[in-house]
Amino acid sequence: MSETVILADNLGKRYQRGASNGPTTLRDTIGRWLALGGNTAHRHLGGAEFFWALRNVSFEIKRGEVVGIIGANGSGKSTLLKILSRITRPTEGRAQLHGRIATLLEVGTGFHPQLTGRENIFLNGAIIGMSRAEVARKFDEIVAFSGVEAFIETPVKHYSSGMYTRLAFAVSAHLDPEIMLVDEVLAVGDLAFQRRCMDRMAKARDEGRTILFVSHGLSSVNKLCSRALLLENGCCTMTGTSEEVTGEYAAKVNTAEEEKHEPEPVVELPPPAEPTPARGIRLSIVDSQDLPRCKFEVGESWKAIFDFEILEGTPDLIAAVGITTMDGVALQTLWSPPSRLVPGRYRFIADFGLPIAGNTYTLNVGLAAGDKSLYFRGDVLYFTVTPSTRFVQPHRDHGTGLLYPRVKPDIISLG
Amino acid sequence: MPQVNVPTVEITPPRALEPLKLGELWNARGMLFFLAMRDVKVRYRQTILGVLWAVLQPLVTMLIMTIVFSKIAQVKTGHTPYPLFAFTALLPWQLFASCLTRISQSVVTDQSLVTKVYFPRLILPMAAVVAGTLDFCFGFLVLVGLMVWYHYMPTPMLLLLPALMLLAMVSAFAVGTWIAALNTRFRDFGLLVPLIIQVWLFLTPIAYPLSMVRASAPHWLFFIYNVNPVALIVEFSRWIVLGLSPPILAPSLVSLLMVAILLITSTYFYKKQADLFADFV
Repeated sequence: MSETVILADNLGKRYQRGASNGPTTLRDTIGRWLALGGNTAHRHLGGAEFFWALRNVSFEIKRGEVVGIIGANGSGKSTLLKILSRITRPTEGRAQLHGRIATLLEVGTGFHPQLTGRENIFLNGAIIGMSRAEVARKFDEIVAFSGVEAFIETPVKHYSSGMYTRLAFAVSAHLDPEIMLVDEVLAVGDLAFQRRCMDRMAKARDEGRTILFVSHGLSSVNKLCSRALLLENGCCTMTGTSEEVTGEYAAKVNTAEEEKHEPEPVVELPPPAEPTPARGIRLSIVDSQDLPRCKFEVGESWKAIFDFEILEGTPDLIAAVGITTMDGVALQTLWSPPSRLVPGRYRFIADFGLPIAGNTYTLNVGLAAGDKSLYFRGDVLYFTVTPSTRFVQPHRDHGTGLLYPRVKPDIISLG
Repeated sequence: MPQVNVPTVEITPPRALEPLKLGELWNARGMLFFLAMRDVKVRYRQTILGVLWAVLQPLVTMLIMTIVFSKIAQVKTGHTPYPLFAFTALLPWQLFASCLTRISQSVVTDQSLVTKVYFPRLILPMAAVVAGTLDFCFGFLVLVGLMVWYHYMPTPMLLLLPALMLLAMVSAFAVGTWIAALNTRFRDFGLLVPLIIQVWLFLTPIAYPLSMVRASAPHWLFFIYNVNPVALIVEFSRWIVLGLSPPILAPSLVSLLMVAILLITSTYFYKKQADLFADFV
């Protein structure tokens, strides 16, 4: 029996463009009354433009669910979280939450710059609703999780934004809330911290807590969340399983991006700002006839050709081309064996031969001498793979995987 | 997880008049003390004078007043030595003024708190007021020192000291919360506070005795003068510490009524402004 833990009913939030409704200054207000001038920007209240950051958003989240909220910048995700965490009030609609709530929005929730990390932990614990004894019990755990032991007695004004977030997340995560509202905080930590956050949230999920997770990282959303909501321009346009929703979102972004960049199959690489021992000259993508193209059908063969120049002779030069999907998932990188090269121009042909499914991909190039990276360019070239009619089985652009199947195993009866 | 005692949060659009939710404030008392301690720690960590400042301010003001009002202007304060007379009034005045200043600063300095975390916003001015009382305690030690110096025996009336503090704190809270609310609406309002405090200092019978005002002002003006809540505080202080005559009844009652009205209206107004605050930052 699963009860509703978060209920949102027709939530809407309207903001006024321009500052006409916000705080003014006494000087300007009196100046206006006396018609003495002052900032005239505040004068026209009528003609104020409204925009709805959020409109008609309704959903129900049951206990133990982990729901992701995705959408482009400005789609209303942060506004929704702000309303649910009571930082701001909605203009219409209502919501109900059952349980203790811990929220993590942006950086440095209520840290006072002059106080030390230790003092801020107690302060934030109190803010969130923990008693002093509770915080003391969990103190060591919190510090260990955040990774700032060495600086715990230093005033937080000396912390980097990453340390801030880690400490803030550590405090919220150890609150034992029934509901966690998390907003894209993972962007500020390093890989180890991101991993720890994801693990902590997974643990919370396993303990039956409810999590609302706003993120741009589609793969994290897929990993952690069972369901997702897509927000576009303040409206909830889709709900469903996280794979469905992230796939839909990615597809929309891909088509939008495609329309924006006319993909070029051949890209000249500009010389780097500082002289380097090696640099790339050109990257091109060609089909089986060696003709440059950037649209392929599923199953068509293609290869990347990377032309580069060596300015200083290197005994162990390695050239590499990598292919990444549009959501940033790196598929494969092909490396050349280390080669002794004298100054001159060279070509590296990367024939991946991967059974990639329909999607938009980008290529990265790099040059290294042994372990040392000499040259790197990411997202040099875009190309798309579209579904084809040549395969009997319909291949969806998303949902069934990044690679299309080349085998179709039979079913064996066990009797 | 235990199902009992699961708090339910209702989120609705703001209405014209909303309940104060005092229960919520009580639950947040832990945070109240933390914020107050934080203010105190920060204050005392920043300046080497720190603790001394709490004592120096009324002391120095008293010295200047003694020179200007007692020696130069020859203001007479009856049997009481002038320095003691002035300091007895300066101490609760200090409590009032510093609470007022802290409150008007709190909304600005705690912007980051207000926009990132939910908590009952009234906690902010309350914490400012609680933080101010520590300074008062240090100042009180100086008062005791002065009483010893001038051979003044404390009377049992001194037991009413907590009532004095309460009166000063509540008045400061009532006025300060109004100022804080106005400050969120008019961002430069806080700049007026030092001026307001300065004027108020002289409109209150601190540097000079009430008898001088009574002698030189018409009856109705004298009444209005006494409606000043700080006049009540100061006269009350002199009554319980020095055994001078108690505050005049009629204007004091009006003063108390005014404080009560200010208190109620300011909390509602502040709460309303605070709800919108996060939208405009």
